Amino acid sequence: MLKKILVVDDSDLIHNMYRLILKKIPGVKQIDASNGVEALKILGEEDGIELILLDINMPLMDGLTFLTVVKREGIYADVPVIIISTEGKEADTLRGLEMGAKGYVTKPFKPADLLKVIEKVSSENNPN
Amino acid sequence: MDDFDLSGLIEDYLEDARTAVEKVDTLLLELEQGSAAGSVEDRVFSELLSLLHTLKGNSGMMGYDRIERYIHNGETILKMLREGEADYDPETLTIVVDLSSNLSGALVEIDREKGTNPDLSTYISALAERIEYFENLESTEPEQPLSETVLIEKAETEQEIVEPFESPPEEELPEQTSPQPEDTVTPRKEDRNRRYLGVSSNIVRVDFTRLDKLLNLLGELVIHRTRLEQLVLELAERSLDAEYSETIGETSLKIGSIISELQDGIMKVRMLPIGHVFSRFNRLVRDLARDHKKMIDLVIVGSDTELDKKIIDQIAEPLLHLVRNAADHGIEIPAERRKADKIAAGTITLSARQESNHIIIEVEDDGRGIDSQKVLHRARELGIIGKDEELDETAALDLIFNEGFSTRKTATETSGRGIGADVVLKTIGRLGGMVTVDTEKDRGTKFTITLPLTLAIVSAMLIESSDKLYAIPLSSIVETFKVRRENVLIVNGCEVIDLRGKIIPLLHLEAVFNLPIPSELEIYYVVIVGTEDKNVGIVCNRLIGQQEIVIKALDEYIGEVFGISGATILGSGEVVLILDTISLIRFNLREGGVVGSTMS
Repeated sequence: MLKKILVVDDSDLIHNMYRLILKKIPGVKQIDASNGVEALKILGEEDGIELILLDINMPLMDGLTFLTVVKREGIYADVPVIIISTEGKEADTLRGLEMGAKGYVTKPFKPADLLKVIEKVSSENNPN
Repeated sequence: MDDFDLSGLIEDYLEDARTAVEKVDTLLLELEQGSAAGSVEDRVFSELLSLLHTLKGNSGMMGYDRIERYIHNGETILKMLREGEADYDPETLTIVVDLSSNLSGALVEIDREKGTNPDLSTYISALAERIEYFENLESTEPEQPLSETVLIEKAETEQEIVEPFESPPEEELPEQTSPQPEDTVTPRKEDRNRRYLGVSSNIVRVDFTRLDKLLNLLGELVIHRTRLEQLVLELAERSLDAEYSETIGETSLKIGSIISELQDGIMKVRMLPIGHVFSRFNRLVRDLARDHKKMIDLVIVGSDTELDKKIIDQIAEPLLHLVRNAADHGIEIPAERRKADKIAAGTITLSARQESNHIIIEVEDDGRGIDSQKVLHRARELGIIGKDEELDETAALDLIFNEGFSTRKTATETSGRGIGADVVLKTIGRLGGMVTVDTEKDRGTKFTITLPLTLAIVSAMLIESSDKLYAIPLSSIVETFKVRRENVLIVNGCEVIDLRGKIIPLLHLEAVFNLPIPSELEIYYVVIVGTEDKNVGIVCNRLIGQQEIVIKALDEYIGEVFGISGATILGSGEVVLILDTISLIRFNLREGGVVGSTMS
């Protein structure tokens, strides 16, 4: 079962929203970052992050740049990433998937759909 | 199906969204200014699109699908503007600039009643309509590229990742349903080339100063046409060769009629719909209603009525004052309205229409009305009128236009509506227009503004008084007639005439400009200016006739001259002053004259 999820989004509202949704996964801890730079920092400090929910459109470092850095530096590449995209930004989603993201959800989504994707991605990553 | 209750997040959402909308508002202002100056920085677009995109996503997550759809359309048109696929025509600009106010209105609704899903359908379809309009303009261009293919790929990927992804919301977004041109199955080569050449549009953006320059040149032309017509007449009198002078006369006529057409054409180019100004008041009224805990509906009528841009630019401020006063002081709070047997929500109606060569703008509310007794009382307190002076209803109401009346002190809930009324009058007067006010206790108040269609070239009556020529804009003339001196009556020491049962006070221009009043006049030529209910008859020795005049402002070093709104040059080169009829009517009131009113 998942223990730690990193949510990278520049909106506090979204952080709170995930907190409500992720409650459905028993025992999970949500860590918030508001952009790619913060996310990288947290990944360096915090052990055991098992999943990243990544927004695309963020200040300082956006989601795609974050993925580029992760791929180029070869760090944290084993942590699966789910892209949270918005309608109309399909091209970004595709690029993210090409860069190694394991799944995506398009806003607005139903909470249950997000949970399904999380479940699918995390079970693919830890097949046991 | 949702067992997730997101309602706990509404406050978060609102806070987030408000900040975003504020930023959007500032950026839209930049966009508007940029478009007027001819170019909008790309930064403005990228910041706008980024903010809106986040807001759209958040709104969608919170279930506000209409806000989401509205923003979606907003994004689409912004992208089109950025790519030059849409034009900054007034209609589009208004719709785009209104994005922020409509969004903040929606947020206010949500804040007021948490469960609501604000209805933005009018705005959504207004945007959709603009989008469709510009897409159709482009319809020669095949719209197959990139985005389509991406959509298809997306669908496939989607299948892989989440299987039973439920179908998107009921209706499809308008953008996608807009009809595709049928003959675009295979893009031909030249069509493909067009993509790089850009879209040809029928709309050209022009710097307004260029139009002004054209208009000035036209003004000169009009002046010389008048001169030419005079010369032709003189020639006809003198010339020995009748046929020759007749030919010249015909040519002059022809030139004259072409100049008239040219004038119409240039004037039309300068016209903008007044809706541009009106729509700004939606937010004002909503904010005021909220601040004062009132319910106010703003009804806008005739927003496509067109006015010269110069007037549009200057009319916003006086209208703002009137609308604000209507909301602040006119409309009552719901409890008070119920007591007066009215529905809880008040209505402010802004309307515009054209009547011959005037534009009539009305600001009407169904509030408590202005109490003329209170106005009188206040005016006595302020020393505007004497302690025991009594005025009739119209004259009393007119006091609110007094400069002294609009001091801060009077800006209280009960003291009437003095605030800024003098500013309104001044501005309208400068534009060559008129303002009148009608009010009825508990029924409401109506301000009527009459404006000339255009500022630069107007039809005017030339009159002569004490050997000086003056011009009076036809738009402020009610009628003209001549009267023998023995038919002039004296009331309260003032000259008046009885015209078909109406008392018309007379005014000698010499009195206004401190010149000696001629005593030997046997026949008075009188030009009645003003409105049916509030007017004055200007006395002159001679009515010279009607002609087109080009209005020139008085130079700044002269400053404002009482009774004069500008000057014009005649074909002969003579400079003629243009009378400011509003201030003349008020001059007459102040000098103890009687107000023109119906005898009963």
